[in-house]
Amino acid sequence: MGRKGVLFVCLMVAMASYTSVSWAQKPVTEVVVGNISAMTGPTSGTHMMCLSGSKDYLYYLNEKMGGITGKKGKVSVKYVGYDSQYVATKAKDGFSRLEGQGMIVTTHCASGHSDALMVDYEAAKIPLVTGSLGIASAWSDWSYGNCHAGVVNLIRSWIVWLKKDWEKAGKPGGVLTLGSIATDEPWAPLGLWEIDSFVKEQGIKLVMETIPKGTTDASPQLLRLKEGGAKGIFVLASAPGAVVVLNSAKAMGLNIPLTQSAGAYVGDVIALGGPELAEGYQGEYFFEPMSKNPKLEASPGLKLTRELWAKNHPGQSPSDMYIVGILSGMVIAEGIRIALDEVPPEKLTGEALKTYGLDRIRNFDAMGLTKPISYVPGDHIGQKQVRYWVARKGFVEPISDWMPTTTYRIPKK
Amino acid sequence: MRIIKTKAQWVMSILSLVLLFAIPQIPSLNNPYFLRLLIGVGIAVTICLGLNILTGYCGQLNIGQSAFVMVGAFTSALLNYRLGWSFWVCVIPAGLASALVGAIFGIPSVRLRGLYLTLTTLGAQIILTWIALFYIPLTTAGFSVEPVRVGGIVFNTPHKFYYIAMLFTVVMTLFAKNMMRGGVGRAFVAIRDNEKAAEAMGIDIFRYKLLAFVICTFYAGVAGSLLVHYMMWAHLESFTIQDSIWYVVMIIVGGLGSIEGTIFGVLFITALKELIFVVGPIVEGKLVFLPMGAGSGLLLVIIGGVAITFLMFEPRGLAHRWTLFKAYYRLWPFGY
Repeated sequence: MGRKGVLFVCLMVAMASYTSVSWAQKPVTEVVVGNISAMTGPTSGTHMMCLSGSKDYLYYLNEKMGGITGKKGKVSVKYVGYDSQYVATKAKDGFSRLEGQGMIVTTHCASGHSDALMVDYEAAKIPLVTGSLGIASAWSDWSYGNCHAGVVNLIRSWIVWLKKDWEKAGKPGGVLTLGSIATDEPWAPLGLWEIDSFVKEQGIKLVMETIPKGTTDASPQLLRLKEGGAKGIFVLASAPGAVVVLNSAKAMGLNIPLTQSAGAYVGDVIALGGPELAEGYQGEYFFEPMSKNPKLEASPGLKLTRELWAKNHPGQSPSDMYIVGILSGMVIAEGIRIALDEVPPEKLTGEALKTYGLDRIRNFDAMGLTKPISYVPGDHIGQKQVRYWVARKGFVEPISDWMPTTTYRIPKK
Repeated sequence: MRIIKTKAQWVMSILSLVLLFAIPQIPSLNNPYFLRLLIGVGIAVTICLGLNILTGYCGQLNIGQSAFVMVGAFTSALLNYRLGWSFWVCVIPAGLASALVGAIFGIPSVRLRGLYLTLTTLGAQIILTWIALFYIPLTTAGFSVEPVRVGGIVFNTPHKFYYIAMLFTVVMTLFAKNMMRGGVGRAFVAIRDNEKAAEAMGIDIFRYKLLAFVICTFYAGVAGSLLVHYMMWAHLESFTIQDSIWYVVMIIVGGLGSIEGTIFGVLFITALKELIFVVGPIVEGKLVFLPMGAGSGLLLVIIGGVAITFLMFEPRGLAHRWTLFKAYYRLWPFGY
């Protein structure tokens, strides 16, 4: 081997012997909460809101209470994040990175790509607490949903609500016809998974339409829904898609009630499209909305949420997704608190948190932010109640009581 | 002309391979995060090699590469899920399925050039994604895929899958390198440099352009198969237009029409991304006037800026810098 070869080998050996970070887990007096979200990319707006919610709440506990306390001791929270860019392989990279930093629980607000993490968090025995529309919370014993029963139950719950009202009104028209309009965002068709059999079971008719992403006019689809006799239209879209639908509906003078799925919230639509456009737009909520409606009294949880927002994000506009993050933070904190009644801080691993903490959460109402959350073996959906709200003069107000959601599950494959 | 010419090159090549495959055994390098990054590099190199053959060597820009990765990924995943075929049986059909779809979208290349052809590849991205989203329920919801197995060994961790990823990367790289030195590669370059002159020399333009599409998408399909068996999960959201753009940026930065450049480009962009992941949140923490998420958004700004910088100041990419370095090193310490 010549001089160049020797130099090359030396270079390689020098690189190999470079000591990087230590990957050993630290003893737990500080627990690491990891967040893998798309901080960049098409969904970053909602994901960042969600991330900020859980981070702000957990750091608030550190600051105000010195951490989370149970009978066996106290821990403080270290919050670490990783930008998955909405790419599944990056989410996996992030999981390994955060696991290496000692993460004992993970959270996110991502959709399907994070279902790809299921195999990782199950193998690593690190529980996931999520408000994701994805379906992992219904599948995995290590996943805990915090606010709704999954993407497939959004339209199903709405159908049940309208059908009940229609029945109360004496079944006008003989057959209830409803409509749906979905964008081609990856999660939207999932909301209509095996909807035909559900519709048949309910004895109603559902007319379905799709609008491509990026379109600026949904008039043809709305016109077909009107001609199909739809008495209500469910919008499976994020806020920009909903604004397109609302603009078209307004332009054509459509008087069929439109209801926003929880892919976005009415508050987001008001912020994006303006109060005038959103007037009368309905939406489903699984928690108390962020909107500061002077007519309604906020729960202690909502008051705290607003304080945290004002303190951590002065001058910025909040979104309802912030509450989804707050809820994740609250569920994590509650799980840790309960677990610390059984295990000392230094033994608080992901598995201990699941067994002694999250699995034992019962009737936790997150300071009134949502209906009580309970986790039992085989059912980690969380709370299963929904309430419908409507936009009025830039605020939202309830138009229904809390009612049970459907609990359909997409079969695991 | 051989790829490896001298004894010293043989020794260095063997040592490099030994080092490459020894990484999971080196204590300071064998953490799962680092290995996952390298697996990602290996898969991206395979995807970008195909893209560089089509774009860099043959001059046909493709901005829908991740859709072809998706075709291979879902072919492999569905064969595994429906028929129970192992990765080793699925990988070639995955490449071929992707190549077949690539050939269909490559047919317009005989009549279209430049921006117009680019738009057909963008069309491929949209059409294929739409089909997977609305016509195949399984691909909408996502489903699990078996990990790679060899005998009793299951390659379901980064430490194990690393070897599979590197094996494919090395084989596909050597295959590409060899192919581009032969008649096919020279025909591609001739078409890229001057289509009319190439035709006058007797090169069948349509055949070779189509062949470039087939090779490009075959690489994408094989990489897609690797990807789903690595993730053990197949889902539509892993194959976006943004990924396609990243692949183009990688080959531009690395060097169009260079196999080594492809590797450099993937390594450079991966390293840059990881650096920004670390620096971004720190910057955001220090500069409080920045809005939420601005630190992470640095990634897009910096990588976009890097692509523009390379196009302006080093259009031949890192591969050219490597050539200059080699020329300097060969004469070192005497510059004559």
